[in-house]
Amino acid sequence: MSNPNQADEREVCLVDDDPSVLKSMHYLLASEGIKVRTFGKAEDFLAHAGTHRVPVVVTDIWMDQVTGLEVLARLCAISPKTRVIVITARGSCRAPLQCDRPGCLFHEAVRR
Amino acid sequence: MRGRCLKDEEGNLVETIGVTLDVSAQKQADLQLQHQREEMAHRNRVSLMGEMTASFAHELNQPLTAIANNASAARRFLERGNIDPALLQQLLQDMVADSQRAGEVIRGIRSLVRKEAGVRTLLDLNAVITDTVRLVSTDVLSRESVVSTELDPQLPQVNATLVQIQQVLLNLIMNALDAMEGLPPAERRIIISSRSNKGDVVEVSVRDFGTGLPKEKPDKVFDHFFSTKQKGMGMGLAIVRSIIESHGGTIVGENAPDRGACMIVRLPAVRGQTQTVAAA
Repeated sequence: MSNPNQADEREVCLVDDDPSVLKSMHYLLASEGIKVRTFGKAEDFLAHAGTHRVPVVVTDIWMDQVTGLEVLARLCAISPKTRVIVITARGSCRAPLQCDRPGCLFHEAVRR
Repeated sequence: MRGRCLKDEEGNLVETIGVTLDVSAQKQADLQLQHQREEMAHRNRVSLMGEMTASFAHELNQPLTAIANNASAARRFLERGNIDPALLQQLLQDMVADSQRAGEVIRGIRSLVRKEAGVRTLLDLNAVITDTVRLVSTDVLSRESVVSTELDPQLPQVNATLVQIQQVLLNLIMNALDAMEGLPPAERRIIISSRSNKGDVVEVSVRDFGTGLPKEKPDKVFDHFFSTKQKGMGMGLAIVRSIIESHGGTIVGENAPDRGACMIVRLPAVRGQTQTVAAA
């Protein structure tokens, strides 16, 4: 889907460990004319964010290896200016509280 | 019925003596006991499902989200009037695949809820472990715990009922999660291992780092109505043991040398049936 050798400052990064959801979100944003770079593993995204400018990332909160909140915490140190949208299929009392860093938008309603 | 014939010196039949025993009551009692066991096992499965609602919701939400996203994307591409037919084809194909995936999830839930546990088949326990761990993954994550697997790639198959083996694993995983509730999240680990003992026995162990089993009599946890949980009925491990024993296997509980409990299930292997499955 994305060429890893080319970074575009206008592209949106997507992180989700479910291949079907990741692919469908890519199509959804692409249908709005948005450039997208996808990552099935949070580690791959964090490595990318360490070497490229990432204006916006959309990350799932519940992933097998690492939670979206951990991605958020580590990203804050690597790339503090990146805007983060954390998405989830279900509400959690703690999640919005932990998503209160500047630039973080907690969005619960994406998964219906 | 038992009997014998009495003959004279020339071999002619002179008398037949017989006795009939009515074992209907015994048979009826056995059937009733079997029915009660199945009923308890079914209640245990339904109760487990109640503890796993987060995982089921997640399993179903993923394909449904993908379908909704793909349908919205297709509509927007069409509205913009620039959709490539090959892309539309791809979006539709993905929607079909995801709706089939959602159907599989529902079928899996139904098989666990159904009263009848199903029939015995040749099972690859590594695959059953991997599928079961995936099934509970959201509940494991939401309880800030980690499950890892160490699977023997040369594990022989076993002759077992899939739903019952899933039920055993789910009980052991849920117990392990409960036993680690008081620990800091970084220490909440479950290790599920499989190995075969000279090809005759398949061994599966579920190890946690929680409070451990009663020191004096670790096997007491398999007794009916024994529970260390405030809300526990004390039936889960008793049912687990009856399932394993009905498969000709055994289950033992041990305390690990450092801390935590290790439940070891042993089932007879089916000779000549070895599966090669990549560890999860």
